[in-house]
Amino acid sequence: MTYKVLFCLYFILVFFSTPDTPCIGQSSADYFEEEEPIDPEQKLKVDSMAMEKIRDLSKYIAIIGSKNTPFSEANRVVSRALELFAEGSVIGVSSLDKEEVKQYEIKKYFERLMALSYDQVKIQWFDIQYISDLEMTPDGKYVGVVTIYQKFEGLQGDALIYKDVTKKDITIYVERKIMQVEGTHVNFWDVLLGDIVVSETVL
Amino acid sequence: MKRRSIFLIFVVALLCSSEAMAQGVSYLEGNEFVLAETKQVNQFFRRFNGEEDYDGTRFYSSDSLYHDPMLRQVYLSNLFDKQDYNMPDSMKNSFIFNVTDRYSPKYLNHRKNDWYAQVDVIINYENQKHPCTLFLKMERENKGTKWVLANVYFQPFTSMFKGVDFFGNEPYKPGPYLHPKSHEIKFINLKKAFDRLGEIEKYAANEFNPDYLTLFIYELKRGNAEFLDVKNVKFHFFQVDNWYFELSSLSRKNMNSGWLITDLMRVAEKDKEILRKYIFFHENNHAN
Repeated sequence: MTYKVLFCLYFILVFFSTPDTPCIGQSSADYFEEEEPIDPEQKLKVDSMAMEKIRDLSKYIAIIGSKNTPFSEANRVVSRALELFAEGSVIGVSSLDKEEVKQYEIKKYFERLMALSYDQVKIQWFDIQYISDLEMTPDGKYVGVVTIYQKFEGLQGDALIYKDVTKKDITIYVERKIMQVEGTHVNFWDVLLGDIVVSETVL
Repeated sequence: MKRRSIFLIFVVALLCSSEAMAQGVSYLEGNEFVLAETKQVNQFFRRFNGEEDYDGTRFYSSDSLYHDPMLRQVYLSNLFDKQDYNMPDSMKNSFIFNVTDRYSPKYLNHRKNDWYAQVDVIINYENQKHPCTLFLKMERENKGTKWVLANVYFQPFTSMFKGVDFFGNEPYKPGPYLHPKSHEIKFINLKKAFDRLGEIEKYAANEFNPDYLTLFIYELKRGNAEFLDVKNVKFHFFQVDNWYFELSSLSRKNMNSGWLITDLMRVAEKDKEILRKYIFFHENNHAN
């Protein structure tokens, strides 16, 4: 129900009262500027590094999910895929008919994918993605979210066993690092994937 | 100027496309829906403020279309849930006119902390699943920002404190008390007070208000409560002077989809505190 009717009734009730309850709001002047915003050129570089990792993840998912991939190879690819992620990352999966978002540790998610074993997995991308601004976290890293849309098809023989179209909101952690190359300090950006929410869409 | 006009025509044409476009669209050709969808809250902010291209490319302050009022008007008209008829067009137009005023434009700032996330979750409490609502707000720490818990609405807690006049608007009703000479009898009458659990809060000071967030953390630490899942997320914005709006995510197969304004109200600045309290604490606002 809209707030309007309830709020109006409530407002009439309390209009003349002077509640003693503590103030929960904040002054509109309470805002904070980021100390070190990333400049646009650097941001484009980081965006393309993040997209590269996400494309790698997609390739790995297709390999892991395919029955044609030998078990040992699938395990090797799972290890490669896990290297893309920050420690402790999870995947939340939501479907249109269920309200809850089910969460899996990233490794568990890949193991479930291996167990499904389709003869073939096809992942197609929509050519649109959305990359958020990067925000600084209290420990000085940056965090952003990349949204992509994919069509997933699992086939057995020529028969389509499962398909879905999902929106994937993927956390990216970005850290400025320094390494020494032949005695000189070189700055670089390190990008890791983090928690992912996979939502089924009506598209 | 010409580039701007062409761009605006392109945006208007795309946003005004009828739903007939949805007919017979295959997945990979259906990108106009994805393009139009407000895909992240980040994108809602950028579209609201006129800070990105139609395809999501960021504008910077040096770009000619950055904060452009006409572009913002086009975007804003599509940032409302068009299927919600409780928001009259006149009110929406007035809001758009107000925030895009050339001389006093209003922008949203995600680092300004007068906006709240409402997260509906499931809690296992005393071996039963219960809905619970968490309210979070943005806070600064060190160089960066983070979301922090601002309040919890949890029916098993609120039902325990029904006797508290939380909103301070109930007429006076006589209740139990410790009489003013109790000190002379070494407060021996406390025993009787603590036996009356149904009315125990009547013995508390005027300024007493149950702090549900403290209770919530206490119960989690005691192992009586366990967090299970997130069900739904929406946002409450108080940043625009004399307006309040709610932002929710709607998944639809048309051009009006994603993070959209699902409620809009004119609220005088002096009354916003009442509305915040209503959203945070009133049982009518929670599906418990």
